[in-house]
Amino acid sequence: MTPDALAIGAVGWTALLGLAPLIGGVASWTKIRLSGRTGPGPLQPYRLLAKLLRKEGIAPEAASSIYLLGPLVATAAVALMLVGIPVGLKYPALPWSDAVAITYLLMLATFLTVLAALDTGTTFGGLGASRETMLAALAEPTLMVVLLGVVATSGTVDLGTALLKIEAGGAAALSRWVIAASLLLIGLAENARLPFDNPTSHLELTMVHEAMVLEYSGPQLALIHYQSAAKLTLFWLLVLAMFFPPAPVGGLLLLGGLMSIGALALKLIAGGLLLGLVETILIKVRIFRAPDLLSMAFVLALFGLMLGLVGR
Amino acid sequence: MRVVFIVPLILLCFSAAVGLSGMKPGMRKASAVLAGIGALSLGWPALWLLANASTLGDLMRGVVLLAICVSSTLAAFHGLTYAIHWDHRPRAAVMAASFPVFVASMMMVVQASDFVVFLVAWEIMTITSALLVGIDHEEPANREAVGWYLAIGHLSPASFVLAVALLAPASFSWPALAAAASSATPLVRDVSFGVVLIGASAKAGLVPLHSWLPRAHPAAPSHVSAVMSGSMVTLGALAFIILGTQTLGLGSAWWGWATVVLGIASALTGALYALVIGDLKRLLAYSTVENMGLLFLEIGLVILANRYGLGDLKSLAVAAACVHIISHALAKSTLFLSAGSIIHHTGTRLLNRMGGVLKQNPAVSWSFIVAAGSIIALPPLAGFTGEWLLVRALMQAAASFRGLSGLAIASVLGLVALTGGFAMAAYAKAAGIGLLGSLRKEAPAHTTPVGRAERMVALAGASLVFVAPAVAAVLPRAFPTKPGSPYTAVIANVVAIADRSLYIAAGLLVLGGLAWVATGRRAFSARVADPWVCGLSSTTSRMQYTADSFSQPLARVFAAVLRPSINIDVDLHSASKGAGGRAYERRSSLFFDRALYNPIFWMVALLSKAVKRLHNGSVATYATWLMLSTLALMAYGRWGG
Repeated sequence: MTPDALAIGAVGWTALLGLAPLIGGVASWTKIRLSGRTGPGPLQPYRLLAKLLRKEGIAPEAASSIYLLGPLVATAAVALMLVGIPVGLKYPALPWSDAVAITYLLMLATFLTVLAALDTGTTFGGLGASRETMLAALAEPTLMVVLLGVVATSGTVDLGTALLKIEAGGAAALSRWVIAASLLLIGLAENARLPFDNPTSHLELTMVHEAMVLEYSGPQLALIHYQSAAKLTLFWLLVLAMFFPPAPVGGLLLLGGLMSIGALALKLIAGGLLLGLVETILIKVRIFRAPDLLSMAFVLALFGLMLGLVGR
Repeated sequence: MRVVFIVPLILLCFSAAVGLSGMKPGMRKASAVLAGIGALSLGWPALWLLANASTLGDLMRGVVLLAICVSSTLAAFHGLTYAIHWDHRPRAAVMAASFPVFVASMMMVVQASDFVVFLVAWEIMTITSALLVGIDHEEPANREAVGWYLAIGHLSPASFVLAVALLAPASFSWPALAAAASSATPLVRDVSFGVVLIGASAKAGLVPLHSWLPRAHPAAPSHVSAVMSGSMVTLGALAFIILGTQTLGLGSAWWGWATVVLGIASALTGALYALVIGDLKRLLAYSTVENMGLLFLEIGLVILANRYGLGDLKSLAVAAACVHIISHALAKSTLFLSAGSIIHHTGTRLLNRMGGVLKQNPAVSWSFIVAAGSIIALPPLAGFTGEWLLVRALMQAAASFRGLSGLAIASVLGLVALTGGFAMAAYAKAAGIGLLGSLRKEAPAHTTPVGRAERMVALAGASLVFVAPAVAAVLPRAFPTKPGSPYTAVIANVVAIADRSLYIAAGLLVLGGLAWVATGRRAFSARVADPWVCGLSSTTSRMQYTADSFSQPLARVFAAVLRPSINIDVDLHSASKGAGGRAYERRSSLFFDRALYNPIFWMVALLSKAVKRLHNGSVATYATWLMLSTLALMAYGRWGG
């Protein structure tokens, strides 16, 4: 990696990691406004993170070292996924920008979060972990098939290169649509969004993801919030990358960079608005209806992969 | 026999002799240490084989021997505990003697220069391991396990003999077998291949011949399970490569496809059953079924690549198989050894009754978690490299085969991904329910503390899982292959992905460090407080999720396959209100037992009943039968063939 590429990369990575909490903030702001309430502004996630980082961490009696280690490693894994593939901004792809590495980094985060939830020794921890495992065991394989579908349409091995080829319009168009649909479905499931899970629920028995992290507070909860934001950003940018090219960071160094970061922020705001709208319209499905949606996503992804292989 | 094999052989035989003669614990300890050193010294011939490999068979021999070396070294040192704790038990001497013979026989299978030596070594391996499985023979379940193991285990040599007999070779050396195969008719070769595939799958534990695995492992001592699951099953794959691909050579296209289908079917079945099984060692056994399925899938791709002359696919699939064998041996041995310590400590194999182990035994618990992470292919651990290469090989295959075959490979890819998801769920259950939270039953009256040797072995296994990618990245660079070696591309594939693992490890360290700094370096500090329980005044450990409740949602999703039977007992006379006096039990009916083995047992029982009727004890009847059969034979000799 040349120094130039490294500089461009550093700007891109910082922008992505910094803007990640925006989408969730815009989404909840949209939801609040649509239901006719005032509520906090779209920058609330940043304030929440700042507040949580000042607070004290709390662990239940049964918890062991994995309860504290889990959020840290899971956050590192998700952040690694986010900067690894150039979907938000165009910068040189990192060595782990491939379908298998991305999927299994996500699985690393899920595995540790589930273990940490079971480590609390509470009923709600187990309840959330059990349900999350059911969703993840179906959604994460689908993610791998989706990403392989992207790779297949471009005829390269590397996911980063494949995503840039999509921009050039080289992909089989139908495959792209099918893959995007599947990605939307698993994106909602993986990010604990409606119709799979209600992120604002306060009723423990209906929770999935929130039940898992019920015990956390302080710095660990800040990490978990940040991790969810980064995951949501990644999935939204992946969906967008099927249709819109990521903006290059380089060009006229300062101005071009600022403009593409601005474009990224706009994309995230658009994603937040859309997500808020969707979540206002949809209602949560029963937990045992969720596998139907996920198996549909899996079949769609497989179909997309086959189309990609045929349409090359 | 080559000279490099002499040293381990002598050490292992010596260890067996010491073990057999030693009724004192000290002698048995010495025997265990000797066995460990002997197993470790297998590394030298393994590397020698790898360095001089010129054919696929030799390469696989080296890789499998390395797997045997790793898993039996770890297991032998873990076995020290048994040598100490099994005081005054003559069978401890039997165990101390059979373990090294078992390891030595596996080595003999690997390096056998002809088919007869191979077969003899294979039999010694089966018999010694059966001795070890049945060492606790007071338990009826354990005796049954030995029965299953021997019955299915003997299918392999029987099929190998049948396959070789069909070829009718001039002598039993490998080249003579290959020569006989090349002059055989296509039909004979097809039948031989089918028979070899059945025999190899019986040893490797593929469906439907996997049924011995989940029975033998709970019965066997943990260090024996570690060797059997870590490396012995891969000898099934080795036998398949030697006989199925090296000896029989290029065959019909269905050879590859049949192997691929058998492999992916085993992988899915293993992962799905691991998900719903509540016995820790049975769960690990089903995970072995899954991994052997993936291994045979990789070998199937090698066969297809050979058939269609696809060099890129072959080097990827061979790399995947090699890495898979080693990483599985490392992780599965560590899992079985640390599971053994955990089972000793909690006094139960049932996940539903475990919990809270990590706080008391951090070393073995963390080793279990790390090894579990490697088995489910989490980056940057050893297992990730194998999974990556497998997916990459499948993508290559899907791109190389146009049309329907390509689409078939794409569906296999989807199923491999699903298998990964199920495996993650299964190990999240094993580690999360088994080791974390708080103990789910009353504390046992006396627990065996986890010994130092066990802790060290578990930690050694876990750290090997961590450093294996680094070794794979460095070793080929330090010792480049000779120019013209047919495996340069294979090694390049392994190195490329090992590099990727190291990059991911570095990335995780950097970003984890950043996150740690962002939390004001307080990510690891927390005050202990009561958990949220909706305002209840106190919690008990019985309120935690159990293994059954954890896997209930997925078991319900796949109810059509698993067909769980649910049994709720309500004790009407119980004094307590609410949930007291109620018992909930969920059993998954095992499809292969129901559909395959039960009908066979039923038929055997029927037949033996019929035969029993002939055995009425009267000499006159026997004489009549004797006369009739002699007459029939005479008639056949006169007018028949």
